[in-house]
Amino acid sequence: MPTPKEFTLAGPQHAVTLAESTSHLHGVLGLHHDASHDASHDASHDAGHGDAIAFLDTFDWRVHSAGFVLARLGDALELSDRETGALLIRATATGRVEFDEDLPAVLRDRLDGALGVRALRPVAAVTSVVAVLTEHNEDAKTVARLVVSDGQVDTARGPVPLTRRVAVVPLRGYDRFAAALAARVGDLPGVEPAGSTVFAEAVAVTGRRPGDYSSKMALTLRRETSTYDAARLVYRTLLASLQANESGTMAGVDTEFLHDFRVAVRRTRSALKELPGALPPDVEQHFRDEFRWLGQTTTPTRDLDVYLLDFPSFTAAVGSAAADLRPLHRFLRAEQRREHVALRRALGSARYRRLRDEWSLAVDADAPTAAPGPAGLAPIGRSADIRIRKVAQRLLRDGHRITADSPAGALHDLRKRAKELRYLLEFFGSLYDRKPHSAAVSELKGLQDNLGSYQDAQVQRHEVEGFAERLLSAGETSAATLLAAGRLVATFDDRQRQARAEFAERFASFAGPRNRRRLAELTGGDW
Amino acid sequence: MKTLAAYNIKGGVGKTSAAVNLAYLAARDGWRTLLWDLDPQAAATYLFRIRPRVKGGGKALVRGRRSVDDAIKATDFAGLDLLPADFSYRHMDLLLDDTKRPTRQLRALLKPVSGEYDLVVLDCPPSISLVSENVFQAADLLLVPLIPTTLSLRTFDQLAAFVADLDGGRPDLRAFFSMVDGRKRLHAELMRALPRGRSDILTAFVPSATDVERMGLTRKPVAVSKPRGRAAQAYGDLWDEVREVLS
Repeated sequence: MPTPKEFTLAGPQHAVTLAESTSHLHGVLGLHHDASHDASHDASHDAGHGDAIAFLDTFDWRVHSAGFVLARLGDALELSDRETGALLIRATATGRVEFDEDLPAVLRDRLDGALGVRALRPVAAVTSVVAVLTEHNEDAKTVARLVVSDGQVDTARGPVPLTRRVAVVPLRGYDRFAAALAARVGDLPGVEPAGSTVFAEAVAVTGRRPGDYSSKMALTLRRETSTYDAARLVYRTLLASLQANESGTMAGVDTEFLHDFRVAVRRTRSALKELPGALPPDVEQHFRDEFRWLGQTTTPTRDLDVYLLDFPSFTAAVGSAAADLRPLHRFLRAEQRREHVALRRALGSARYRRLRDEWSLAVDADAPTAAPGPAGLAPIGRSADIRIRKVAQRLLRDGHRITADSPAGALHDLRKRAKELRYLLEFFGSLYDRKPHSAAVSELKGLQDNLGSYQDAQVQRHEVEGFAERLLSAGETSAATLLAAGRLVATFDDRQRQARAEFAERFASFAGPRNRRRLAELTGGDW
Repeated sequence: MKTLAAYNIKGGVGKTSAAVNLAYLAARDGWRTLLWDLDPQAAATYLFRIRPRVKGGGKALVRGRRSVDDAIKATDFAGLDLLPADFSYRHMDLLLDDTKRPTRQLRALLKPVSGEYDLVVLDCPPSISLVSENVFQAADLLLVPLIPTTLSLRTFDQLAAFVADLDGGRPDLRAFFSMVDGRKRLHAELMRALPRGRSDILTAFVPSATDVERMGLTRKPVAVSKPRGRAAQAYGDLWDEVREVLS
């Protein structure tokens, strides 16, 4: 599909009305005013009078990261190229469009799973008033269009006007006319090539920026920075992530808000544990306790979320008995809703607010209420080396002790060690050479995945047994459902056995000479 | 992508008017629509003020030297494109006959643009020929304008028998009464006398109206030139029924 060429008109909009601008362009360019097209909306760049475009993306900008812009105009969904603005796909969608499965097939195919489990939300809503001028050939056939538009973005503070835009819209088979018209428009005084798309301008007005949220840690630290300053930067970054996910978690927009919220909590707890003495010990102890409470408060909902997300794979695992699992699914849904209510209550509580606000003051960039602790003044480079070394060596020691007879708890503890090491490597990535650092992280990730699938199967197995008992005691179940649950337990057993069988190999790779050399290269010391 | 063909063995029965107006209404309804003017007389092309010329002619298209995609022109209406007629289309039969699968060429030519359009409307030349056989193979719905006379009904039934005998995917077949003259008793009687439950004849009919005749002057679909007129109303009803069959 042809791509419009966009310009902006200089000067404040209120000084010259849209009609005056249009009439001026009409005169100097010798075009026709096509009233029938005013207020039409045949592309995202010429939304009609009072018509709204909602730009949609996930909270972490997955559509944008995939190279697209997704817009909703009434019943139409338009997918455009992020850079050129070229319209790639237009499809009809009458109902609610929130998750991947709500999208029309052509869009799902093109986005190719980019959304994952995340929900689409409006990232900016623009309403526009447009006027359309047309260029005709000698047969009075339209060969190019000029769309003059005034857009405004709806924000919490009220509508904010966008720059007045002039788009030269080519018509298929008549591109050369549009090219010539664009050249003439570009030569007019006060007309500039548009430096950004409507999407970019509109999003900027809302105060957000594509890519402004990611659950990944990307801190830039220097080795000589004090542990106190470095720790506070880590804490502030995590607190920002926690707060960014707060409202989405409360509203239950999608499961990733809670997931990321919990990751921020866990990382904070891990840093409080692994960077002891950066802040005064009593302060650290207080917040360790409070963040443990917060972590625990969010666990039941997350466990049920994971369950529900995994459910399709459960039904696939039990095959013909899938229908018998429906009561279990209903049960899990109801439990999830109940736990989510409890979670909302906790996040609305005075205790949570106090934790958040006091922590924010404690680790403030300019006027922290927490003074440096006993280890606060050591340079972070050295502190990080020591902590990473210590946690990695503990992980190696504990891992070597795992045998075929070790209880499940031993693997669970090992998984926690691995997570702590991972967080430390992520917090302090900027202190190390990229190559060995990312190789060490990916080696660790392999081990974590193995321990994770072992643990997940263990938890899920335990929970299915628990649910089956509760369904039974509530008298809400049939023999078929119990049998299906039994089959499910058997598949968890299989997964767990498989993960256990793979453990030795994964661990050997992590503990092998190559990875130890890497860790030595990163943090020094004796390996 | 659905394909609708406006077809009749006879000319001058309101075929092009139907193709043009239905294509316009489909586009207005949000269907991304391509109208292919297959008639070398180029009436549909003229009505959209587009020059009846395809570079290299029908030969370049059929031989694959030029893709359909390159020849498409935007009309003045959002969502409606046109593949223009070319005078060389009068030799289309010979060109098609020269290919490997002579009855399936049209279908194959449209394939590359099938993702871009929800509907292709074929305005067919009045004849029964290799071109029409191609149209029958390509179409999901064959829409036949009929002037209400006994003879034209008989011809329609013969066409139905012919289509029923086709190999491969047969199109749905529907007729509608066209150029209906309220002053002619014959028209009224014949339409009244139609056996009830003939589901292959649509309820909507297009009157013989000045608005339709004036399309040659206005060079616009009647829904644009005279949106409240009888003819615009009739094509609107016709589109509603056609959409139902296509969906």
